[in-house]
Amino acid sequence: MTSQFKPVRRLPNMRDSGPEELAARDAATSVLRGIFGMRGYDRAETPILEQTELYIRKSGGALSSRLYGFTEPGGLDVSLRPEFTSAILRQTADNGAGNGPIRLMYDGPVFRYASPEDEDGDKTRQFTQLGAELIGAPAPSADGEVITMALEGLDALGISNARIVVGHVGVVQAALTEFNLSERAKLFLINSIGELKSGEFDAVSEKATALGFISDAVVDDAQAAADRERIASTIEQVMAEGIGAPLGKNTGARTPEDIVARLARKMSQADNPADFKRALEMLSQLSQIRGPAKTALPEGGDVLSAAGVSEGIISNLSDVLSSAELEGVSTERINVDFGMARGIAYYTGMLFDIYSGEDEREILGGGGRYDGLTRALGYDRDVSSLGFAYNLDAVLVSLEQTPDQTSETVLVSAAELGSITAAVEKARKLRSAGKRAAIDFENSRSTSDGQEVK
Amino acid sequence: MSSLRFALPSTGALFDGTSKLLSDCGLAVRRANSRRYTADIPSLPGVDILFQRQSDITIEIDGGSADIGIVGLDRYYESRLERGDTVLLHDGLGFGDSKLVIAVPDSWLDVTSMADLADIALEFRSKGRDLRIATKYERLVKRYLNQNGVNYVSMVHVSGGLEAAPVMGYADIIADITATGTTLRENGLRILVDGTVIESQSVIVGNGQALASDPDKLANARRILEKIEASLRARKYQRVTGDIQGESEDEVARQVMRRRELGGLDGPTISAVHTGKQKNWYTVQVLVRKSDLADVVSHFRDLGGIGIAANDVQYVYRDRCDAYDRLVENLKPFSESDE
Repeated sequence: MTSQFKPVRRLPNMRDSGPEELAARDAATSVLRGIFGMRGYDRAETPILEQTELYIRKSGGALSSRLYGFTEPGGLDVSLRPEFTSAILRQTADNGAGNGPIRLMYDGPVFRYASPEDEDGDKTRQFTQLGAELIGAPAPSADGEVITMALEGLDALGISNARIVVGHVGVVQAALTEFNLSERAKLFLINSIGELKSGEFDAVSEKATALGFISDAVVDDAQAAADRERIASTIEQVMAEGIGAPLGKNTGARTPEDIVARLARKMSQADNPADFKRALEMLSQLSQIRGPAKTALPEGGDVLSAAGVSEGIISNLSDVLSSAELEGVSTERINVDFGMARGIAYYTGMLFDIYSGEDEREILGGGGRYDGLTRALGYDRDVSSLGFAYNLDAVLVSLEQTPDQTSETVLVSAAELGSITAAVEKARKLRSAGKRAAIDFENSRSTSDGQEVK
Repeated sequence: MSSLRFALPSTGALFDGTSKLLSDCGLAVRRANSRRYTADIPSLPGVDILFQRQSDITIEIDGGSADIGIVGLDRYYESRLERGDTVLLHDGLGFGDSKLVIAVPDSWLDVTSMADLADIALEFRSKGRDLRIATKYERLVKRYLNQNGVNYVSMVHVSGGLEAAPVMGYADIIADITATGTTLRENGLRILVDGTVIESQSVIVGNGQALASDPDKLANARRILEKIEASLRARKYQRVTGDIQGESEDEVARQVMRRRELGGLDGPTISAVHTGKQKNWYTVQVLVRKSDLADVVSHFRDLGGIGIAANDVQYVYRDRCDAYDRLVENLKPFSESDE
């Protein structure tokens, strides 16, 4: 009789791995651990399951909407890890980080959900990351070390055409500081870099207009001052007479004072549309600059100085690039991209992607500097840190030749040797001589009937 | 021969829209009385109509108790089992337009955008509680909130009367379906400027496994899709006829085609008018987009045309049925043997 049950299918966009792939992965893993180890990195491991809180504190929407989150049997809100950095920092914080730099490496599966309608809806939802974190290292030479190590690892695996594209969130943030904008406006602009880079200036302007950052009206300072005064007096009235009519009755769980206070705060930080527009235009130009450092850095400097921003803010980026050069990385392998945007919002400084060849769809990994993350995850201070990770599955795909396959297995036949006892004995001898040996049970079927073959 | 089980919404705007669509397509549904949950289509034997609650249709199709169905896109995305057996067969039937939106109490003067909401969620968090949002669309809304950085939320599942939730105090904000926004406004709620989670309209979905494994069902699904597609396309077109004088059919055709864009979907049809007296009159027929109607009329006039008339058409067929082609494409994984 056949089974009445339908087979249970594998989950969509999940993969099984066979012996060959696993052997290749093990070999690559040990090569990479060796390379990182030579630079003083030690291994660390963290649970696959963590409190969801760990990943949503600082990671921004791009990652938190991809979490595999659920309530565990103990009632806690947990998620499968979508990346290692937050957990590694949690671990070092728990252990009380010392003053010197801590060098750690890790590897294991990570999980990111993408809906079938998403742009990357066909991506594998579980993949293997192998990476490193350098915690407590503010100097640009630390950035140089991490970039260099990312290339060294791939070189050691024989991926000789790997290259790096470097961007810098800090440059963008520093540039925006000069425009006297609110945090809200800056965040909007930073989140729009991806769109600006691909030339969708109009779409971004439209969104900015809808959100009130850009107004069509000519800014008349007298008018603006009068508006401010009127609103301020409404607020005063509300504060004095209670909320009453101006807000209506239903303010929900927020008190009228909460609302008025935040409104006042928001208004005092209201952005000047002209400043916002200048910032948007600057960012649009800046984000389209990419190429070798030799040309991209001066171009970036020109855009910044044309917008009245000191081009000195690029100096960290050029220091980072020089320190990678000092480590022996050829400048031909590094490109600068001022429009590099990253879904994970915790990066604060240099950030980079690793590609194989010219094809920018073949991304092998990436990393960057995240100086603000430590405090957000419970450190009592900011600890300058950075790191990167390979997508090991993608790295394996781009290997020109797979490492040596495991040696063949000798099949020891009980039938040929006359008894299972002889077969077991022979297999044992082979194994102690370092050979792979397995027993062929095919002709020793009688053992399953309970009769030992003599 | 097995019947195709076709699930339709049993109430509301989608019920009305579906009934009208099917009548327009010559597929009017016959129902013994309005309390019966089954019906048939006299012009299409082999199809059983099942009236279902909209929220159940996707689930019924996923589970195999219905083969195809009409449902709102929002409902489909909310309740489908991903990579279950359900596939989207037609992505816009032209009715049931609505938006799933996020709305806050109007009194929250300081909250106009999703970025504000993210800020408020943090404010709530710092007071030791989560921002509560009432919705029937938990999956879609949670994801949209997360994408916009609103991470500290708890979802309150409510089945009816969502708009009252903030006043009653069991949620702080809501996410609900709206066509015009009037109900939300009347309940003191305001839609955030970038608070649209999904724009929805009615679509046809089907169980790929069931259709791929049963040629009878597939044939009937194709008949339905063909008629609906041709009828929806026909709404955009009108047939314009007029009499134009000229030396020959070819000459008239050349004149008409001087403005190629007004020459009709497949070029003009031209036939001689036999009046007995005047010669050289030809009747010209073109099938044109409704938006081009005025231009076509003046073009005919410029050519000395008389007796110009325009008619609606019931169906416009092309050489292929896109919806069916897409269906066949979608069924491929089901017809191939299991991996």
